[in-house]
Amino acid sequence: MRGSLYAVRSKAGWELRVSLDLQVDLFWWMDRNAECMYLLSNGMPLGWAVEVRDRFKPLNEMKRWSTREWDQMLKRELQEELRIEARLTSSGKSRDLGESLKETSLLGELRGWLWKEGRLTELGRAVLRNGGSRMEGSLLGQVELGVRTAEKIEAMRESNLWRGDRARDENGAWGEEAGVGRDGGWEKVAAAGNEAGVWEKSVTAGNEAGAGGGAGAGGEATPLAEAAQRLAAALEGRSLLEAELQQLLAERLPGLAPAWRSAVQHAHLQGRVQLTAGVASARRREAGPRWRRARAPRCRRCGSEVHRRTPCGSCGSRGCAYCEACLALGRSRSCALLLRGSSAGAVPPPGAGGGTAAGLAPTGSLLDRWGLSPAQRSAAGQALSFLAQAQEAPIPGAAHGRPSRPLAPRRPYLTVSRPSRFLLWAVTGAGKTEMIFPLLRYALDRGGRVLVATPRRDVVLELAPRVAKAFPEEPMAVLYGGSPQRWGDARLILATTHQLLRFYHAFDLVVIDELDAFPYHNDPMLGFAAEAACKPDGRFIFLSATPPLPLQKEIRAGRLPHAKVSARYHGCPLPVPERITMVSVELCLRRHSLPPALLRPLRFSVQRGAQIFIFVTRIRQIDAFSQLLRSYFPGLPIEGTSSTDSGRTEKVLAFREGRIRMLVTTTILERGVTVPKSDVYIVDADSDLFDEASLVQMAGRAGRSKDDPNGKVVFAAPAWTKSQRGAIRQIRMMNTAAYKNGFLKVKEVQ
Amino acid sequence: MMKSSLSVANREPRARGRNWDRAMGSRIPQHSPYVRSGGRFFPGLVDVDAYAESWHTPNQARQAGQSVSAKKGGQTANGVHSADDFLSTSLSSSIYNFSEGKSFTWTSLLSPLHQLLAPPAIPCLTCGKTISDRVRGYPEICMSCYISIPWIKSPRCRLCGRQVGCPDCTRLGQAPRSFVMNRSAVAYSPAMREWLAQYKYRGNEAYGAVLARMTGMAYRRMIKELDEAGYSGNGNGNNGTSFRFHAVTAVPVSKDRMQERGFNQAARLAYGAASAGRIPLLNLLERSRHTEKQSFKTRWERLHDLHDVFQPTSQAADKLLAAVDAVKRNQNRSNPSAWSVTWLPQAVKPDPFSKILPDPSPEPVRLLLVDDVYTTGSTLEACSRVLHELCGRIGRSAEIYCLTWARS
Repeated sequence: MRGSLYAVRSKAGWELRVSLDLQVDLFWWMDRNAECMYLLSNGMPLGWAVEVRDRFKPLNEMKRWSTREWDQMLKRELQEELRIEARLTSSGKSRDLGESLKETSLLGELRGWLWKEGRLTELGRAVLRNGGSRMEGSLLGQVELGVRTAEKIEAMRESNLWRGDRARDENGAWGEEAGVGRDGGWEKVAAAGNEAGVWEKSVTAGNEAGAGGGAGAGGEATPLAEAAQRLAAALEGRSLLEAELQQLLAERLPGLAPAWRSAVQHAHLQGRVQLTAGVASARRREAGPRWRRARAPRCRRCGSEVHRRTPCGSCGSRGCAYCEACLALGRSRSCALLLRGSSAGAVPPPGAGGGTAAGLAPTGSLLDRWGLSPAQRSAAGQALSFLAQAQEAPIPGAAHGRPSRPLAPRRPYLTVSRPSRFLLWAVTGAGKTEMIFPLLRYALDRGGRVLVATPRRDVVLELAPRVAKAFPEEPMAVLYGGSPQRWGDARLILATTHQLLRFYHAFDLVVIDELDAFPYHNDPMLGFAAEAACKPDGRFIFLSATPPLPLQKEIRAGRLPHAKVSARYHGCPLPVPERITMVSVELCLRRHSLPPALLRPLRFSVQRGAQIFIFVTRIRQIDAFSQLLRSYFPGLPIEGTSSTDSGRTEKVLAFREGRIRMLVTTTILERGVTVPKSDVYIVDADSDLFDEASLVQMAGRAGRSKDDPNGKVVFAAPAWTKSQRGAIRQIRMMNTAAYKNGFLKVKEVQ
Repeated sequence: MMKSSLSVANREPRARGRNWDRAMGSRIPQHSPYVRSGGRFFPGLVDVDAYAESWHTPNQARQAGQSVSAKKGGQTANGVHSADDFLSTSLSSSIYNFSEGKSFTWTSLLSPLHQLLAPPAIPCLTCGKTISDRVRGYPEICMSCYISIPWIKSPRCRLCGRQVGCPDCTRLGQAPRSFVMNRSAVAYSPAMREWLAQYKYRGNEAYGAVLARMTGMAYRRMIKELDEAGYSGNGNGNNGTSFRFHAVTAVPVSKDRMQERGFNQAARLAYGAASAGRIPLLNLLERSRHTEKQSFKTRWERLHDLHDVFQPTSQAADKLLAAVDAVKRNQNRSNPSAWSVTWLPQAVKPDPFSKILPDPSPEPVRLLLVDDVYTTGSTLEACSRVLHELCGRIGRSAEIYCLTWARS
């Protein structure tokens, strides 16, 4: 996408603006009595325009600059980008010649003063007439403004003795309040234009809806402001690329689709929508040009580094970078338009001075109706008091133990207020979902927006009915790749983490489930997205049975508020894994025999009638291993499943119901699955694939139901590794803590 | 079977060219800078055209940029070949760098010390697993993904290149096709569908390089087939010259798509074929839009099919002419026996009348048309028809051969 770039001097001083529709901007600044406006470029790659805008440093003498000086400034700011372009285009021979040509074509042909000393210049008139760049989606671009109307504008302004807002307000012709006056002024022009009859409609070609839109624009004179208002409301809290915006408009505001550029530009000028590029450089170029080190640009949407540059037809550059990390959600490119709607401020916590009944410190009665176990209650209570407290003083990024934000915001501020975090460390089977219901209720009651993020789609689909049942009157949106509710407007949202990339500063409370699960743990993008989706003064709540090591360290250092739920819902201790020594699975398969050390407990489990989980490391071992098991247990229904198995949902269902007695599987089933009366066998437990968290989660599949709280867990491996030791230690520690706090009915069975 | 295709992929471009030189005697200028830069095209027309391209649309911006690059190399040909035209004869990868500028480098993945110890293990593009066994010629994908590619090794239907018996082409009463034949690299299996979707709709341009290489491979196979069948350049049996296309062109995308996607996938594939065969890639077609101003169309164009989707670009005729003349001159040079020495200077001089009068040796212009998927062939049919008209305008008949990446 190409965008225009212009500099405008208003009462506040010089500022640089990116524009998608120059006519809207011109009208806007004319209305606000800007002193002068200079068009730097009427069509340059959007990423470049955004870079220049972000790095702009106003100087007083700019109003006396000539075209050459503006050009120089532009080229200076874009030095690095132009250098990359040149490098990509040239083969090293006649470099300078090509460069100058390339620059001209890339930086747009039109430049010059648009508005000087209160008058439209020739160029300004031309821009008004032709719309600068005739692009699809421009409201005014579909209607030709005759010269007469432009002159009429000038005449009107001069007759009003242009002196500022007050003068305009007094003149009834322009409308009552200042706000209406501005847009009313545009309407007036439109009306005048209609009377003058100089409006012609020329519908741009590839825009079939444009015909309808054009008719609408000319005929009923839809106020631009209203369109902008609706658009800004729809965009609230969201961060969308252009293609996604089109989808949103198609679904929710179809009338706006043909004229979206103007509406977006108007909303941007009002300050309700941020315009930025998908990929931009990370640091703020405060250091002088000597200092520059080529650093990879970063994707603004997902925060990851971008390495790929390709020639791009829509901006004309040879090295338009695009982000591969978030490619699944649409291409975030250097020239891609990224729109961010600003949200209403966060609902303030009542810490500073009381409030409504819901705002008071949460009492026991709030928790009673959810039917929580004592362990759950205490943890939920702690979480509620965390939510209720006032925002703590902003801590500089370093103290959190995380690297500071990779992207600098456009308006720099020194102390970044980051949303505060709380960890609910609940063991497997503790009933995490039920625990968060009171927290959701609390946040919703105070009018905030809530997000529950889970890593995987099937977990979202499983949670959705439970949450819907708990909050029947609250409209809920369930978001995942391909969900029909993508653009819905709801205060309670359940989403997969990838969908978070589409939100920006949108939620007061973000609950992140399964913090250490795939795909979080080696994907910094999702952490970035989660943090960006929460309002700066919102709250994070993490749920996990096995929090990652850095968080555990923070807990030990006392920097992270947390609550532990060490007992399961039914009040019985976690089954502690026992260890048997066994050769590796590969060896078993090669010998076509299972060692008696494994067979003995297996036969015991089969005898007691338990469902048996067998976790192996590799998908390719599953079939062979199940075959081997079938030879030892004839007549027993034994199946194997993995992520490549298309029938895995049916197999899991059958396993739950008891039609399959033994299931050989990979870590795909390590979380989230509840099977009554189950025993867990983990073979090759010393493998690198099974880290401590994974082992704890797998062990947590056993003993989840009230009827059979003492499942058997077996780690079978040739060697005794740190992760196995750590897992057993963690489980034992949790059991001890639970007993100490009195949550356990029965002391732990050794 | 596979081994041969692997070795084809493995052979280096220069080596390949050299083999052809020796085997077929055709002059594909490789090393001599004189030959590369010198008198094949009309140097006089260079600057006018390159600078006259002012940017109006993003597509043209790319064209302008590339015309500059064409000029710049000093090696590439000049003249009417502005715009997207890219002459693979003097291809050096830095000029039109499809491996994307400051791109994915090994070093960005591993520390330099690590690099010393082991070859870098990158994830396979299509399946995501680390590549443990590299495929020669396709560094982006792993061996298992490579093995699963459904190559079309021997097309069953001679016309449309399908792998199975073809009910379409054998149907009676079928209107004769405007193209001679179609050959495809792979069958459009679900896996291939996924690859193309990732490239075209998702925009993952890493796939572009893989698909282009596969198209190049299909191109070589097609040339081999044509050579063996005896279609040689001179039309009189196989006398040693390899089958030679005059130019390659791709099915265009509309301006809107270009704005939205930023690339034309068929053009990328055509680039793969063009670089495999060292043939000029020309931008001969564009999608016409009905409401665009008709005034710059000639009366001839306006009278004929106005509702065509495709139409020739504004300088298509000139570009085509230049390419045809280039090949002819090459052939003249390579077959000195075909022409007496006295004729040679005349053949080199630009002939302004060649546009109007038919060429004395009515050799048909051979064009290669590239698209991504062949479903019904109607797109290729429409494009071929336009190309026929175009060649008619420069007074030649045309033979259009289609090369598609997938056959569905």
